[in-house]
Amino acid sequence: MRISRRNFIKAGAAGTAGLSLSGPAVSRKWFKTAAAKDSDPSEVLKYTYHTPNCGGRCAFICHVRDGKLSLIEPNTWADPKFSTICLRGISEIERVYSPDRIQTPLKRVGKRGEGKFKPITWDEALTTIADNLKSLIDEYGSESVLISMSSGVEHDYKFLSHLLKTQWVCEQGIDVGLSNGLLKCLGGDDVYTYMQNEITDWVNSSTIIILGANPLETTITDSKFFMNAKEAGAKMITIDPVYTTTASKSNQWISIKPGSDVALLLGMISTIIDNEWYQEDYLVDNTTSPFLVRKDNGKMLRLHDNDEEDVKKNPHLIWDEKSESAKPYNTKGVKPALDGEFTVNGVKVKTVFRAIKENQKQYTLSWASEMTEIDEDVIFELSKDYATRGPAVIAWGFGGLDKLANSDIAGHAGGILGSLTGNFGRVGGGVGAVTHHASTWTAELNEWPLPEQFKETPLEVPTSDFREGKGSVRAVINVGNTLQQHFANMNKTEEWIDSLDFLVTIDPFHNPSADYADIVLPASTAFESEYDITNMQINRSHVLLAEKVIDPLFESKSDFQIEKELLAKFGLDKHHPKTPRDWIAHKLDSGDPALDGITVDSLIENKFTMRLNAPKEPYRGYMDQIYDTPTGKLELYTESFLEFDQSLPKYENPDEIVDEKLRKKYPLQFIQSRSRYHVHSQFNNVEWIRQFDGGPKLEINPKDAKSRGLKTGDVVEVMNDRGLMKAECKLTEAMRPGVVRMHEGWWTKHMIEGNLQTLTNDHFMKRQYDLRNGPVIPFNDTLVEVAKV
Amino acid sequence: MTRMGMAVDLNRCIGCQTCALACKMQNNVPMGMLWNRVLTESDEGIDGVQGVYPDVEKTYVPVSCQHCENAPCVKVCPVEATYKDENGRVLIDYDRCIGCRYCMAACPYNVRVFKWEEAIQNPNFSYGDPRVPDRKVGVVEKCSLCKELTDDGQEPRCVQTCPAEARIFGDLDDPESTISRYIRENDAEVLLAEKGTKPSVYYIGLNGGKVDV
Amino acid sequence: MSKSVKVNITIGVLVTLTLIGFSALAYQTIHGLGGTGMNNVVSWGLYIIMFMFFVGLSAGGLIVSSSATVFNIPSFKVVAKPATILSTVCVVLAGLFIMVDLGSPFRMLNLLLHGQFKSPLMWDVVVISIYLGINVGYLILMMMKNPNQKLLNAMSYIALPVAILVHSVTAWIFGLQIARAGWYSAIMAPLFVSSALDSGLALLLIVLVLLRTLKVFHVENSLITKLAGLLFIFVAVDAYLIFSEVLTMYYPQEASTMLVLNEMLSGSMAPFFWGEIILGLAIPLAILLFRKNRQRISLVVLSSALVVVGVFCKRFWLVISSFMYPNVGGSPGVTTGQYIPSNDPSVVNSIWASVGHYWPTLLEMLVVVGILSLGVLMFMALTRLIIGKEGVEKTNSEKTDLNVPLQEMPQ
Repeated sequence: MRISRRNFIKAGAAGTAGLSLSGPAVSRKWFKTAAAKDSDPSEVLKYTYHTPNCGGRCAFICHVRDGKLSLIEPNTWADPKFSTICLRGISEIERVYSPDRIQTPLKRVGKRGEGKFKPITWDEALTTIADNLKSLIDEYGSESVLISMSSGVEHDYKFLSHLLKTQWVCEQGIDVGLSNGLLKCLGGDDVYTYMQNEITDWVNSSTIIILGANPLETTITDSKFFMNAKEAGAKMITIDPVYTTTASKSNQWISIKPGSDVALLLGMISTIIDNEWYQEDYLVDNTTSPFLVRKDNGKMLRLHDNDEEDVKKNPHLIWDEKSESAKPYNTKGVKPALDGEFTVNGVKVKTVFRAIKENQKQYTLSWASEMTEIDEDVIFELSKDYATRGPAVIAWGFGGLDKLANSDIAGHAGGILGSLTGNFGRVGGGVGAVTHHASTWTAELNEWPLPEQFKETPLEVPTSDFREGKGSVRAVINVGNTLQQHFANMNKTEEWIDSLDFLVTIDPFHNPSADYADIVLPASTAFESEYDITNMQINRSHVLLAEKVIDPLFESKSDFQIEKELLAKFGLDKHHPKTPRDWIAHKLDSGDPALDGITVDSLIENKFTMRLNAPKEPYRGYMDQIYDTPTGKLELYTESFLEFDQSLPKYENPDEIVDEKLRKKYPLQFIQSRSRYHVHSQFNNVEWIRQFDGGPKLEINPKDAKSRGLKTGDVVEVMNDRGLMKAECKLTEAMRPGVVRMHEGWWTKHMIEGNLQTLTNDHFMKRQYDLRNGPVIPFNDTLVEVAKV
Repeated sequence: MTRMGMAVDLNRCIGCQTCALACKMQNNVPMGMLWNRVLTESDEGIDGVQGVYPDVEKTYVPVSCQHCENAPCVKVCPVEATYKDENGRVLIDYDRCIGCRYCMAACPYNVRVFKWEEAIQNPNFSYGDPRVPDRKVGVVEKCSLCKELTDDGQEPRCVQTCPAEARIFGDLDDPESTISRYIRENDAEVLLAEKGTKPSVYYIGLNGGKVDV
Repeated sequence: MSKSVKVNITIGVLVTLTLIGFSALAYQTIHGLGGTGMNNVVSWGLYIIMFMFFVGLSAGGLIVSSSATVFNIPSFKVVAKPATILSTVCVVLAGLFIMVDLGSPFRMLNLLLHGQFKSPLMWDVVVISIYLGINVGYLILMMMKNPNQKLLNAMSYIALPVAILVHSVTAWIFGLQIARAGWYSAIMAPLFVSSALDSGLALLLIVLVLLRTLKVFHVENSLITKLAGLLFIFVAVDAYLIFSEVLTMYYPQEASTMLVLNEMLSGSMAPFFWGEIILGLAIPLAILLFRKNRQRISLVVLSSALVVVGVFCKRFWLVISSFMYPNVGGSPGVTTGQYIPSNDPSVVNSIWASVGHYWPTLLEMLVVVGILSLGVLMFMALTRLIIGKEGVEKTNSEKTDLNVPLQEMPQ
């Protein structure tokens, strides 16, 4: 039995007078209490974990009394520091029983979006869906069906997409901009490019720069690691136009002009280079900075002047200072020059590092200061803190600048900053997305075998482009609230929805997307199931298992069951696992040594959480300094982006928010931010939470409010050329003048009129189609005007 | 003797309201009232800031029953329904309370709530710890330092669930307990020290109790 | 209309009002105090205000009748009966107001079973019980054909300090609470005594004039004038103490006290504060200062009515203003305990208040009106029982006793 740090009388103080409860005794006592409760038929304990897409995956012990979910407490993980919960997890007590639950399958009787339905039987619903899909697939091919998933739903309907060979998407184009840029340097296929090191490694960092992110509100369960790092002496610096909770808990808050993050990062690069704070050896050993670039066309110099891309067959060249000649970068015993210009076979070349230096000439400190509206000395000190205090982190992501059109350039610049300072593959280092605590030890899971002919159709175009008449989608199976949440510019989305032949929504709650559906299926929440064992995940270096907590409420069915029954209508359910337990057992049987001894049964014995057979220390990526790029090095120069003039990060404005002409008409930037109260559009209907955050409020600085004659509580119209919404406004000095904000995800029914997405910018940047994750939806790259109603 | 107490590190508190809802859940507190709430010093409403942009600041202060040693509420209760127990907790005998609300008038911290009428319960059944006593209409209720848990050697629910680990629970009478050391080493303060109530809830980072209006 | 018809109509109206009030009370007893304007910030309201008010009003009677003996003011003896009846009725009403304020009135017996004597409320229960006992004892003695004069005298000597104590203890319910800036004051007890004296005497004056007008009980003008003189002194003392208290609150400019004071001077409590200062103090003092005015019954009644209204205003601001600002301030404040479910998702339910507000609801007003009506009925019944019809003649025969010169009263 592990001693929980939470037992208030520590094992070490067991001898002291007073309550003679030592840690282990308390734990035993706890266990006894639990066992006693198990024997009481009116209250049973059930183990599960939280599934919505905050990434929390908090492990829960659920007390079920008289068949009702009555109390949720954090389960103790094998590594107890991860035992946690937040207000959203606790509020499930109410949410599971929400009046917004869809109780029976529904068939639309009104117009799409009108919200008029009649209840039908499961058989009628599933038959209708199957008939419609069959005829569409027959006529237009299986690619005419799109399964649109919310990551808030753990069961991902991949059997359906593979077996019916449909298209499948989950949140395309959202919060992937920075990752797009950073991946240029790191390689690989991590959609979101999380910080390389687990957040528990932050205690080893000296400087932590949080750029446009607010983890203390959005990733509440990581807050203890933030605090631990701060107490261990890390200098926490938050850069954000808005004074967020994270800003308030940091050692330093730097207010930045929205959209100018790229300029700040470029200014930092210049400052670090000018002051020679970069790590020369690191750059030479682990990055492509010594690689040679042709001065005439910007192409990288390789061993053979042909189209061979394979770096093994056609390696890049560096300038060997020993032999004073160009050599393949992977030649043993060479001493690559970091900086310089050379002539190789009559071709004038320079090192990548020289190219960076030249590129940076235009991005002086004073330029950066002017662009960002941050004082020069502040940027100077920030750069110095980042480069010279020791291991340092740049943490960003999921919102903020990630929802701007120039986020890929910021990602690339961040990669260069991390490289210059040797912060990749370093204890206490890292650059990447801070939220979701996804960097952990992990293990290979077994895939469920499907006959070879069953393969889903790859996504034809970025999902938003379906609305532009591209691709062949005619039917959408919407799992979650994807129609409202996953697209900007709602009016355009609605036109597309109207043009669809068939639309299904599967969700426990009657979310705004459900109103458009032809058939609505009531899914159970993750607490309900027909099966004893329901889900399994690897998270925070642990395997977490979930069991059924309560029976499905109303006529709902679990997503597993819905998928299985739907496949049965196509005669394909034989390929689907019989029970979630079979599936989980198969997944765990991958032979990965990290999973040795971890089975469904051993998990049940260990209170549904076991640590992977993995090293005890925090997970840290790239400690071997071998990157996922073709060269295995941090690739600072992206040859393939020469056509966009982005082989090195070049400053570009965001799409809309600095458009001076448009600003005359719509002078305010409209951002939607995540908050501690919701996860995207989930929990917005929970009354427990609405006691704190009652409804949509447009937050505005009192200066902007004054010039518009607004006071807190006034109803305002927020508008631009795309549309209009109405909501109450709230004056707060936390907002930067010129920026207005609303917590994201409010359902249309919570609004007075319109919706956040009626305003948002859906313009794609052309260059981003060539990036790993495709173009980013610039939700926050949106200008509006606000007026009193 | 054991004197149960709590220390809240305001430097760590992120105002997430998890403790408020954990308390609500554990103690079956209905809609419209909370035994535990998180305040910010501002007049902007919840989560507001002080100052003028960009010279702004924000401090969260969770407030629930302070379990005062010199508890005004205990003194004024005419029927001893509110009492100080042997572990230093201020508790209420909900079956004895006559609902005069004198304790609410006497409490300098506004941490007591009254059941004015049959409360709305969402969801509409009794959730939480079944050992927590029911409260009928017409009685005063408040934080008990999760008596049902602390009697059992566990921490109060707000301490267990605080995601930032900003709360420490323990024995204030034991000079070597973690909480006693924490209070000593961090110059912890109490709310409204000038009232002389000697709370058992300490705060780190209170800055002399700026939450006073 | 004959007198008896008028009386019957009056009784009919009063009984109806009483029944309405008690129906409201029944509703409140079943559903809880949620129908009142009280909440978790301002957790006491009209009932407690009326309790304080009526404890005070009961003062006039008993103090006048007992001072007659204690300080040998024979002229006061004349009005002993109506004064004591008034006093009794007021203290009974005060007790009723405490009862209707209880959230769990069925547990009142706990006061006897589990009395906790550190509580000023418990002190008040004891002192008010004694006070009520004395009043009732007085009444019984007065009803006797030949009351034991010694016992009467002894009772007067007990009654006076008990009366002072009743007001002091009621004051200490508030004045000993360090939690409330506007209450925590050493002169709260003297202040209550003075308010009790002026409002109690004022009410007695009104009642005496009323009884005389209704020809139930005769009082000489000279006594009215004399009592009016006394009222002037009481009001003056009250004004002096209030000034002293407000100055003490104002001078240090301490933040939490200033919040309360500003609420009184210019905030939501200003109508009550200035109502008291102007109606309850300034105007009556201005009128009663002049002997000529004191001799005009109408002006005396007017002044008395103003004093009663003024003291009610004072009770109001005293209770409410100190509740309004939680000591531990900040947003979002205190949960009010009120949550109104709504099917409309755009309705935002704020359960919070960072500044408390209170205004009595119709329910509270009906209960108060019902209890007041009951009080009037009780007064009528007791008057009929104790003074009866011969009251007028009897007092007429005693009028030769009215020989204490007014000049003895300080001007």
